[in-house]
Amino acid sequence: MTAGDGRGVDELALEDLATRCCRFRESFGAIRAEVERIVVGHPDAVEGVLIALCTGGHVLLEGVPGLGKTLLVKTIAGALGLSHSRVQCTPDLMPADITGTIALVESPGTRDFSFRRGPIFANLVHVDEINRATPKTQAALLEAMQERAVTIAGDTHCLPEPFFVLATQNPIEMEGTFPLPEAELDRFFFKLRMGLPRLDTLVDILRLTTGSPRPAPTCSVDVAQLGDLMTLARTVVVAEDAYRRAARIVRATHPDTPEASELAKRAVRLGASPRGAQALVLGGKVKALLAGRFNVAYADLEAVAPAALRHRILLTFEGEADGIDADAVILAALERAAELR
Amino acid sequence: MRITGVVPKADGVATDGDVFENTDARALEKVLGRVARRLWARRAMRQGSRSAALALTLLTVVLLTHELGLSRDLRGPVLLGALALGLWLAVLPALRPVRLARAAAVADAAGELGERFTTAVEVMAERGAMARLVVRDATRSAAVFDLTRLPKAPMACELWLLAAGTIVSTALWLHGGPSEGGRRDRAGDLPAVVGRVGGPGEIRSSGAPEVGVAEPRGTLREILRLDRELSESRDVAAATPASAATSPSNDAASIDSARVSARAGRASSRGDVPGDLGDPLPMSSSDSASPMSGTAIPREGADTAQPGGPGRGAAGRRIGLAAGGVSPTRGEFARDGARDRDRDEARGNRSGEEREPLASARAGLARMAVPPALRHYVERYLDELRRTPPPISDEPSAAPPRPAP
Repeated sequence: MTAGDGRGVDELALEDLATRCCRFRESFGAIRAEVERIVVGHPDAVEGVLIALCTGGHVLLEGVPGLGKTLLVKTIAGALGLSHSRVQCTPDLMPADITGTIALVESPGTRDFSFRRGPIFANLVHVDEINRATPKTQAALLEAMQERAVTIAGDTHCLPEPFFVLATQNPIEMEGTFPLPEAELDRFFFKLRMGLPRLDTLVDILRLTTGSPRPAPTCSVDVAQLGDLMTLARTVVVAEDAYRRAARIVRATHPDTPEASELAKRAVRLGASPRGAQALVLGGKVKALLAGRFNVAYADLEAVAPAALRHRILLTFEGEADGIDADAVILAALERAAELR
Repeated sequence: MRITGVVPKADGVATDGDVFENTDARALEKVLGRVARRLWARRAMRQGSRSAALALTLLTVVLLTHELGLSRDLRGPVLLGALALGLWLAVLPALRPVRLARAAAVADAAGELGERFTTAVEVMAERGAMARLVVRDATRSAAVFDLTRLPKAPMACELWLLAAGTIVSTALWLHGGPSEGGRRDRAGDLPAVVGRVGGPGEIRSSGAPEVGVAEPRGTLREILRLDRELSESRDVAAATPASAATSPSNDAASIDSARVSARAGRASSRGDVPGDLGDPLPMSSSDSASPMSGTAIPREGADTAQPGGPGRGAAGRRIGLAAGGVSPTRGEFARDGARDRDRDEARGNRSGEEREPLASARAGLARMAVPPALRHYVERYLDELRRTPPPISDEPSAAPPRPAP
């Protein structure tokens, strides 16, 4: 069985797949370029958010105020052509303010209760300063993030596809905040840190933001194309050794496993969860496609490991007192996993 | 590239030619096979060098043990055993081929290929489109893969060990060469050794039955060598009696006494004797011992009564002092010798001029804690001296005639 030009069907399928992979890189590059045109100085954060979106994961952005977290979220929503909503978290924010509520609707001659959707019903939900919301309100996000559905008054309502939560939090200001519980932190695919831009970058930011208003981001891909990217990313091949490497990295963050690194034994109370390993592999798949490969390499896993694991590691009091952070533990875990190869 | 595969029919019935053939996979296997063979060869080389080093180390240990007199002559069997062990260990890796997955992992790391080969080997048998894409991608990488980028096996340690083992074992082998039997024949009535040799306490007395006699080695061999040199120097002394005339003391007894002492002194300076004798007298500042030859070399004015060569008198004087309590200074040597000679001449017994020094040396030897082998040797030599007539000098004595007492 051959095609009209003499090539086999399998050959055509292979070429089609290769073309799709190539298109993935182009689309990703186009989105990134469009976002970086507006959000200057955070290429790693931009790439991290896009990788998470390609795998259907949620992102927690951490940074001091004024670094462009909200701008990043809005720009990505515009570049992807997704419906976008924003939730500004405060201590008095209620779960129903996010998920929606049952309201009494009066129409001529009738009065009926109907479900009024909250801001969670959007493709891209921007939860600003999520740690200012009470645990009760934060918990309302749990089901939405994991199940992509909300249950109100006994009725389950599915959220639109794709569904992403991009939350931001301020790591400095602790007054009036409620640190996210581990269970909710674990729902985030990546935790990205946005640091202070360098001098030249800051000058660029000033030049771009203090002049005439910038044009809005143009839509590079539509929802269907984004769905295709997400599907393609999951087809990337992972070797058994790569799976094992990811598992070893995660186990090396636990203090009580044979694979534990010395730093983990000393400074970690709880290591990364299996969700962390999943994030490693899925993020590695997207990185592999971006690198022009069809298989996951160890380097891909190592590249996404900090973002995928740092919010899943709980340090001991001694570790925090010694100034050890989760990234150092992850670095030690990567080295340990490489030794155990 | 040619990929032929089966397109599943809707009804699931296989047709003729329903064979999945992935030429990409074959090409990849070919390249990885070359990598695997190269890895195997390097592993075999390293294993072989390790085995050889191990065999040499074993051989060296055995030779060293034998040289120290701690074992019988097992060189032959041990050499064969070590060689057999080395060969067996060298053959081991040949029996275990390098797996394709291992070759792929090594090539991935060497070429920084992002685990392309490893993944391709794993999914080589799969029919999924992405899996075949992986294989194709790996094949393309393999086409440009440089085999010289494969990591070299670190063999520095093995090579150093091999070199050191070769040198040491060769030196030990040559040192304890195969002519030991001939030397033993020359030993004649020297102490026989039962069982192990080398230990001073295990050297049997003369005339003991030779049961399980081993090759004379260690101390025994040194005694044999001393004996041989003794006979040679005796000839030299007899042929060149004028050498004694160069001595200011010009005293035959003194010369012979020094000769006796020189033999022992040379042995002493080789390190065999001092430990046994307890080295009762420190070497004077005017003497120097060459650590290489073991020959005591006197400096100017130290001792000129040297019938057999430089330094013998100095070292011999030490042994002589130790044995007979003779005064260490040359003048006293001369005075003692003159007294003995005058006394003997007065008695008309020329051969009796060594009697007193010999007797005193023998008495001193009896008081000392000397190993049996050395005691036997010294006693035997003293007897030889007593039986040997003094050398006749062709030249007139440089010393003025002494008045009769």
